[in-house]
Amino acid sequence: MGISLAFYGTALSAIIAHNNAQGREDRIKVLTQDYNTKGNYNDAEKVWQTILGEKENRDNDYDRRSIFTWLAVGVWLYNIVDVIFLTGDQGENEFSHNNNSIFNFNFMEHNNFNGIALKLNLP
Amino acid sequence: MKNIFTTILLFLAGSFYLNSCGKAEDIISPTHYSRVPRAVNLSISYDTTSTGKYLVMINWAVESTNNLKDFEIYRSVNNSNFFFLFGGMTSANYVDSSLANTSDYSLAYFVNGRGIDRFVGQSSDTIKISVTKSF
Repeated sequence: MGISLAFYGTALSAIIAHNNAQGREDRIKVLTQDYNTKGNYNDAEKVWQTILGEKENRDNDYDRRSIFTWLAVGVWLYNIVDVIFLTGDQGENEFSHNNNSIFNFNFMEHNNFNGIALKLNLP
Repeated sequence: MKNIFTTILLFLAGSFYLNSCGKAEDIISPTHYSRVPRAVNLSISYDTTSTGKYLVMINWAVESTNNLKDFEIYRSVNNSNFFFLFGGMTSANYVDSSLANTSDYSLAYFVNGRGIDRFVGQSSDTIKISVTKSF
């Protein structure tokens, strides 16, 4: 559970950072067009400083994206190692055997097939 | 086991893709710093005319004349806001004779170069002078 949360958290952070970086990239393009149309030094300098600020934020977003992407990779790999080497074989466990309710809805794995199972335990 | 390694490879490929796409693009190089030469080394002096006016003489220099069309000058009187005084000067000096020699003034000036492409360049440093009436 913790590994799953860590993976989804880091992956989501990477995606958000990527999205933010793309947004800032677009804003830099708009600011660059604005910069090219300015007719005097003072206005151009103002826009230029904004461009520099956006560039810094964008670079930070790209750095953040890389960090969280590799964190997600690390968590995923640890998850695989955990499953293969660190977790004992739990054996086959038919979920319906552990549940005596009449109605059961759950994920099911059978041979190479994964799916959702609806089971009715008739008396 | 084979499926697990396939999954790992796919995940790593996806991570590499995410890291490689959307690389930071270079921003443009700024042009406004050197687009129009800046007026430097301002000097100022004053005299009075026989008609009872101040004669304030301002001189400056530029390091090049690339993309330089003319100059415009701004003035502040007694620490008020700067206002456009005159434009279109093609020489590096200006004589301000618009103030009557009837009271004392604290004057300040700065100069802007204007480019052939109509871009107004960086303002010069401000230069100040106090003039006192002689009558």
